[in-house]
Amino acid sequence: MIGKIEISRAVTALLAICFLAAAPILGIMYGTTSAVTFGSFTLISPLELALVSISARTIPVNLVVPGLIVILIIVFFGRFFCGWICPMGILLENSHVLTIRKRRKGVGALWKNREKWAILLPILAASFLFGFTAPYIFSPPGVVYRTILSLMFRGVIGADLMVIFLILALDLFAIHYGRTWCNTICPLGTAISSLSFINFVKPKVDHKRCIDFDFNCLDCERICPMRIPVTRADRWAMMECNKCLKCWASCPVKAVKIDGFSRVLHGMIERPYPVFAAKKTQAQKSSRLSMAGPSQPLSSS
Amino acid sequence: MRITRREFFKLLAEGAAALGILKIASLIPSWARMDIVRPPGAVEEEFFNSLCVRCAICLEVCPTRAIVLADFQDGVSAVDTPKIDPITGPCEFFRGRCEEVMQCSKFCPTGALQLADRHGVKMGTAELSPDRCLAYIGKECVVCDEMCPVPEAITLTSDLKPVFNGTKCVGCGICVYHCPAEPKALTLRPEGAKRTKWLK
Amino acid sequence: MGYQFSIHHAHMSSGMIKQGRKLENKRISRRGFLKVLGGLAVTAGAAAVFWEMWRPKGGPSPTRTLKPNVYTQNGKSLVSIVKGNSDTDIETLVRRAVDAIGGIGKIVSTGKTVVIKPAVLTSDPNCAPDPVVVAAIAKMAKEAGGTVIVAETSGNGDTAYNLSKVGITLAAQDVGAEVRALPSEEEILIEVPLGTKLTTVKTYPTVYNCDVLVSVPRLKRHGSTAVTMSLKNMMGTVPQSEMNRLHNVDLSQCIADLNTVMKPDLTVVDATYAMAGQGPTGGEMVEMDTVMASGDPVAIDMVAAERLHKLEQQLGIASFDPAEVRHINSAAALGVGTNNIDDMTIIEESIS
Repeated sequence: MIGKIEISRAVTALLAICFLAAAPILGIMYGTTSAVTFGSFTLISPLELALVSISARTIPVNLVVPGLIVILIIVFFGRFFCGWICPMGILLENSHVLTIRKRRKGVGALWKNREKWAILLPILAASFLFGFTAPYIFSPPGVVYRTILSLMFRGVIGADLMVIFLILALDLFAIHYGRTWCNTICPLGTAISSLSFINFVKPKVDHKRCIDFDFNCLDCERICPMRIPVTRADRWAMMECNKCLKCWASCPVKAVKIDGFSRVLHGMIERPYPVFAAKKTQAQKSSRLSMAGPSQPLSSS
Repeated sequence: MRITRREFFKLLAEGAAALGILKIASLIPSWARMDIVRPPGAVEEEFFNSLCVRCAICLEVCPTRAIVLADFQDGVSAVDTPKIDPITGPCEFFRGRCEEVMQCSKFCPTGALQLADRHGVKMGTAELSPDRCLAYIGKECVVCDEMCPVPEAITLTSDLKPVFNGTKCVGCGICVYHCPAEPKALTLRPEGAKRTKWLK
Repeated sequence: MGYQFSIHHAHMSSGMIKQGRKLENKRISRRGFLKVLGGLAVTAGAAAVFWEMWRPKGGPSPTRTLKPNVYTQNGKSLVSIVKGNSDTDIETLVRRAVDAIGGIGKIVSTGKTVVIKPAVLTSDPNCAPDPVVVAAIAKMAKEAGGTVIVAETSGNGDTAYNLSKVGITLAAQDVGAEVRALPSEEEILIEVPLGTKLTTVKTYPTVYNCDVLVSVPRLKRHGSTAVTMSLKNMMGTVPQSEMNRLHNVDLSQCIADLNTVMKPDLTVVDATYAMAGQGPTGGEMVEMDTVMASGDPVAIDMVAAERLHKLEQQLGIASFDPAEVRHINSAAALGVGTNNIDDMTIIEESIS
């Protein structure tokens, strides 16, 4: 059952692609997710800026303001690109029906995302040590947009399109739940989430309504594609949030609120199926550890 | 988030492995063609692949559609960077739609392509294969000489066969584009390219 | 206690639960088969209609074939050569040249479509005729009551850009003429019944359907055909891809064949500055302050070639033999005009 939110997000991603394809014909904007130019005014994505600066050993002066604008948007609004604009993300979410194996569910298993650092940091190091910046081709939105532009302007499809299929195949074989590429591997995603310090728009659990203490619910955590433990997340865990609004939509008691958007979303809750949670035993209630799966709980600081 | 020592070392090992893989990937020789002709205004090759963020803006703004994106055959380090394909479009930086301002260099956001005086830029050199040239097989054709925007880059022998002067050639590829022979008697090679200096 | 309701993991796979649908083993019915057949027939019919609409069409029998030259006297083609000096107004030169052979009124009357075809090869103004010359002819044609269009296909680069860069667009629009870059139109395929090597050629509706065609080249040398003037100027009425093909076939003969269907009614050669030594690009611009006009493209090419040859001899540059220019001789052989001096009357004038 596809919810309204999922449709809105897919439509937004599609509109972004249409805009990107139409803009150069109208002459208002050129570029892809790496960098865009509006004629006199450019914007550059933070990962690209980092790679250029590191491999060239200096930050090009004309890129300071373009990079800063994008960084500030990310600092204040977080990782919304991954949830609403990235075509790869939409594709991955909707292809999970094709998952090869049954995925292991681990509630709020954010700790499983750590591999991404073993990917982003070597990429930065490689650009520093031997000027190797080819990992640009592993930025899927860049690949999708470049393919479209190459098709429109040159009539050819680049070979790097197979990266998309590679990532899709990888994700279908993933062991753990959620958008594995997005939360464990994608260097662009990692870069964005590591900048989302202030992050105005994020889910917040109203603990007076949350039934987790009495029932085995945690629907919000089970559904989060970024594996964020929604009920217990501190602001550092929430940096991963890509604003997909699934936690908000799946809470049976409307305990998840979205900071800053509650009024707007107020009437839009969708509950396609009633959810019955099982009542917890006393022992379960006293041990919150049992809900966190085989991992450590979050830092209690 | 707390991390155990075990996990930390696991990550470190994974990171080292990733770095190793990246290093090997950067060393993969481009087995087919290392003959990429860059758009005019390109900085030296060692900086080019670092500065280019593969945004494809140059591809979009080129008025002659001369710019295409390199593929894997041009080397892993250069995938998706811009190169000139003169068969699909001539580069008109020396004479034509870009003679006043090189559009690609004007819009490049990172400075991989920089505006430069068109008299100081050389993209490469055109090379003639006499066995395919219409003039050398006895037909009446000097289209390359007609179209060449550089005086003296192509001259004609007394029996009207074109002779190419590599040092004067600016590598714009107009001759390649217009060559009516099938297959083309001309190719654009990157030899002799003079790149712009990268100003930090 | 505890009956447990199962936790509904309905939302787990992001909302898209596939409904399995069993594909039954259906046999196609007669009705279905006829429907498919009908659909194919309709598609084939629609495709045929579209193909008819979009394919390059062979035109009706050429309307521009070898009309007789109206600028004659006692059966001889008239060629006028008007020379001034550096201060002479160029428009005056043009008007004198055309009036000397009989005036533009002989071919243009009210309501006629006049296409002026300048030779604009590149964006270099030296390679193209002076915009003042083009504007002068446009003005004269308008005064005679015609609708004037300036049309061209550049061999090199973007036609609209080139026309604008050499100054023709602005000059023509100032006198009320429309400027058309031919590549923006759809190509048509026409037959060349008198052609020896060319049987069909692609061209554009504007030049093919006009009433009057005026060729306006500059006096220039050429690498392979020795000179490029009125006859070679007609290469600019075909698409760039066709220009390539003509080089592959036999350039000089194709120029001659092309002129049998694209014969200009009037030619005005801009010799205010001539390109000598090398051409059609990169040659030396020599001031000659001359404008020539004729209704016979072969005759004017012949005379102009001789003048250019004389100029090069004066300058001491290696020259060509004007009697050996292949495309001029081939065009004469096909009857486009005459290359024999005895069949021409040359009117020379000097304006101070």
